[in-house]
Amino acid sequence: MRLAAVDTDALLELAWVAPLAAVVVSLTFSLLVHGAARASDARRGGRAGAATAYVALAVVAGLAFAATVVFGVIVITSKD
Amino acid sequence: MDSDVILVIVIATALAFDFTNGFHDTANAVATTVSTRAMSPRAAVGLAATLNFAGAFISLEVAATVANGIVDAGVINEMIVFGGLIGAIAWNLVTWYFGLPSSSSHALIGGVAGAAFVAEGPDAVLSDGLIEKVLIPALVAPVLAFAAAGLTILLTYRIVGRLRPGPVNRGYRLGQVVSGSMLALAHGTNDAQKTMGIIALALIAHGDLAAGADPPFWVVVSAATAIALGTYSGGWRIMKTMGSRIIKMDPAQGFAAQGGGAAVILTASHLGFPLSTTHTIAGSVMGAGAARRLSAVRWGVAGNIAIAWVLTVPCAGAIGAAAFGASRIFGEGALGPVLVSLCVLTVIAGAFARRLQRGPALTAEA
Repeated sequence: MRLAAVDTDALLELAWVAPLAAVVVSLTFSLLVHGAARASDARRGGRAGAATAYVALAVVAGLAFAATVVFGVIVITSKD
Repeated sequence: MDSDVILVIVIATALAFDFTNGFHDTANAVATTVSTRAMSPRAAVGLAATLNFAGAFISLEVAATVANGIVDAGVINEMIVFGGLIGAIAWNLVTWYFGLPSSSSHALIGGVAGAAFVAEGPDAVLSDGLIEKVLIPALVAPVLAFAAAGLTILLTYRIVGRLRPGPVNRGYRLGQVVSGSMLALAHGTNDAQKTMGIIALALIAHGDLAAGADPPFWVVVSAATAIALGTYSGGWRIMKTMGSRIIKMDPAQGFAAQGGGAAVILTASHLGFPLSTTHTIAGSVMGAGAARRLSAVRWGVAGNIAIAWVLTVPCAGAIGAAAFGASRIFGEGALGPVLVSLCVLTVIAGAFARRLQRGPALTAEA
């Protein structure tokens, strides 16, 4: 649908996809930071099991964040 | 002979615009990185300049016309482009002087539209294009970025709010290096192309390049170099506004502003709805501050920025129209552009000399 000169479909899609993308970027990186910080605290407290779990969280979140970065680079380099 | 001189002037003016585009928009990529001490100012602008340079080579999808869809492509010639470039350069320098972030793309569009208006009349400017490519994106970008950054900072504080600040701040500073790099790369792929498009257009009009051909390698290298040098010289005044005058931010807010802004810009680009990097990052900086506390945002500064955005197209257009009109007084030859260029250089030199006499301007350390 186009109103006057505006592609309202693209605009509406942008209105929910863009904040969602921002939340995904923030969520993945925040979980990476959270996992790394908690793992460090757990190691210092001698809680090896908790430390391993937090390291796993940090690794998964880090991979997810890296995937968003790679996707961003693909978007940047594949413009038409 | 005259056409050769005009070609050289248009190319030099396009590269000058590219340089101002670089230093004007440095703040978008690095202001929050510098203000949260994620990187030193010089390292931040060095990285941004390198990625701008690299970005210019990544995408060679050069726009065949300037202000495509906004000004009737059939009327654009070298003199109109020259007027438009003067308008854009002048507006970039005015907003830089006052430390106000504004869109270089909108300044160029305004400049070309103003010159075309004077040259060919009101029919040369396409109002639908102005609404679609300038007005709507200018409204959408800051609002969307404000909301996105606000959401992300609330989520961020929810996840890391109770952790020790030391490791958290170190983590977000590292994140800012990544998000700032993404913004600088995106800027290089977008904005250097505008200058390549202008030079390619001038070469086509002069008969040195076939229509639709890729720009010569020297055009790519010179456009990449100009924007990178501009970025490296750093628009510290705008950086200060973007990095610390709108809000005082911590590293998590800096990351929310940059990461949220980058997500909005790249999503919009992916959906074919390109937004101004400047409008998006300014909006996301405000959102990252307001979500924590509304009074954290200096709304007076935000208002000044909004006024600059509203004035960008009409003011750049008026200057572009004046530059075109002044050039035309001396006929169709090269004398007009030569004299206008000399006048502009004199005004710029005078402004910088006055600035130096009054002591150092705002610097990275200011």
